[in-house]
Amino acid sequence: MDSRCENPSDVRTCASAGRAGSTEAEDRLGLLLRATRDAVYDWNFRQSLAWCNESFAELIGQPGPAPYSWWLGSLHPEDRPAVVDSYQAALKRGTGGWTAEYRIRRTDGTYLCVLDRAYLLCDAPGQPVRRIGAMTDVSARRGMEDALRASEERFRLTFENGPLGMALISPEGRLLRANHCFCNMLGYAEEELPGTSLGEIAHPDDLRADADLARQMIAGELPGYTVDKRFLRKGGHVVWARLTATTLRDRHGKIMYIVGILEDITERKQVEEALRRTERLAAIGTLAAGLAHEINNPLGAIVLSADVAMLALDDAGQQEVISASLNNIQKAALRCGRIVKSILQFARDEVSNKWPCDLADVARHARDLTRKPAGEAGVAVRLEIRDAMPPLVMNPTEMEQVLVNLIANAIQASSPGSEVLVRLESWQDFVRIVVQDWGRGMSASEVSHIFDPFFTTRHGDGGMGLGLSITYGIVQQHGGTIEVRSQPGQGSIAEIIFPIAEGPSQGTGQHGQDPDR
Amino acid sequence: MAKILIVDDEPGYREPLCTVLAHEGHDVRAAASSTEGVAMVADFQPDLAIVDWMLRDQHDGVDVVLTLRAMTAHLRFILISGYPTASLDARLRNVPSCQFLAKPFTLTELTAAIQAALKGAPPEG
Repeated sequence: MDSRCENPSDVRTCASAGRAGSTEAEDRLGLLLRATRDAVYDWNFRQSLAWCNESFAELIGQPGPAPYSWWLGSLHPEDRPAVVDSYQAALKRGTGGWTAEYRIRRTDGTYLCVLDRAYLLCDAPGQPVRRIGAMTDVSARRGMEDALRASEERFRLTFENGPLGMALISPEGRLLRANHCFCNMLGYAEEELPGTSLGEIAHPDDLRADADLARQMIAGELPGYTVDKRFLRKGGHVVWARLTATTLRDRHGKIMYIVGILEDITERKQVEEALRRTERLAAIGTLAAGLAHEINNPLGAIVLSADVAMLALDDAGQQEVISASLNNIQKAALRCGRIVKSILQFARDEVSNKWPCDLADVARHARDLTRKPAGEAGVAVRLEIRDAMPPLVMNPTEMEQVLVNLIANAIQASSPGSEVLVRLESWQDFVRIVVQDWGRGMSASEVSHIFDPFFTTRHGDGGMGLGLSITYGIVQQHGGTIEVRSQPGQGSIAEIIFPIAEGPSQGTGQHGQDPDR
Repeated sequence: MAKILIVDDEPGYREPLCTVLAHEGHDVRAAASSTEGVAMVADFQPDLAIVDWMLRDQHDGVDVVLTLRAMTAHLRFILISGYPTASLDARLRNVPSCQFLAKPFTLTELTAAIQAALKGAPPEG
């Protein structure tokens, strides 16, 4: 199959070689063959003619028409068997089209990937006369496909074999796919989980733990969130996990999947719980001493008052003494009851649920709650909100208790006609709460014991000495600090500083786990 | 009988204490703080002071005892407290003529402690 076309790059010459004269149509065809980026070839087997356009020469890297034998010899060895088989099959079908994608060697030894679309002319099935076709260089596209395939493979491997539990979840909350680690963590076989709703594997008490965050994420208000919650293993055992959820959206912003990443934190939770228990035991020792003191005082009063009453029984006309003693006994017994109530509240040690709230709202509510004692004491409580308050991750009930405790203490220390100031400020990454009074103040010795359980400066009026201990605990639980400054006769200032959690400002909420009480 | 000064800031405790001791025939005066107690000593010249270990204005009753003793050499003491006694005992060993009475106590126990305190040798100045 030798070429007889001397100058294959001269389309005009070649195209018109076997014919006399040129027509408008031939001109157009010639220009088109020159213009196309496709490598066009024409192999005439009967006449042993080969013709190629300029793009063909550029594609394979050598001038001159490439014969059929070149094509057969330049197929990539790995692709050759399949290409030859499919070509032979096409020939057997007789005249008609044939398409194949394969790698072919250029003269410099490198390979190109081409999409070859040909038309075969046959005398009879298996008897080709002519093959005309065009090869398109698809190397770039093939490269991208390979890269995509490799990337998908990497993702698949990461997904399937990663050390974290991963799952693709439908926007309705059904598991579509879960990896090995995810299934392992929950004790299911991989084929068991698809179709299961998240509600079926979550601990019933934690079902609502992230409902709001999930809703916000689906609505596009949050890019994702992280929450610690409990799940149930297949056998019913509880697994603590840190769930990080995020969404995969299409170019129109519609959610395709929710991606859930699950990290088993059961062991960490157990260690934390054990540590808490140890600390609690240590605290119980201190607390027991305080409690003994606090209870023994009214008990002593009861015993002595009973003694007084009994002595008075022996004397005539001692009704008043007896009555005063009984009254004293009753007051002391009621005080014991209040101590027991406070100690129960103090001993409560659950980790409370926290979410972003408006501190200003909480402060307003706390002021409203202290209106009655303020009114009775003739003290005005002024709330001053200096800056726009960023949302603060908190338990609003506990935060309100903190403010009520501080305001109530300030009111107690103030004289009628004076003022208690509650000021909220925000600066940099912190929020500051200041509760200030201009009342009787405290000595340095009193200030140093202010957060001790059962310490009180309000013996006569029912102060239990636990309010500030509880306040201190709540502030610590919220990652904040509290400081009290005071001088006798100069009033007191309680200052609380909370760092603004990174979570909500960056769109990722951190949730506690225990249900609301 | 004896002149007894009571220093306790709990009125629910201080008042019945005064009543029973007065009924027993003692000359009793009561102070609601350590400052008030110190102010009364010079004028009253008590034989015995019954002091609560933890007062609002003074958290260490031993310090109150030492202050009062420096003012009146012959004064004897009963420290009373609702706190467990263990930590207090060791410190009281170095304070002569000082009894300790744990709350709650009965009139009988109080009477016995008063007698023991008054009978004891007066402390050396």
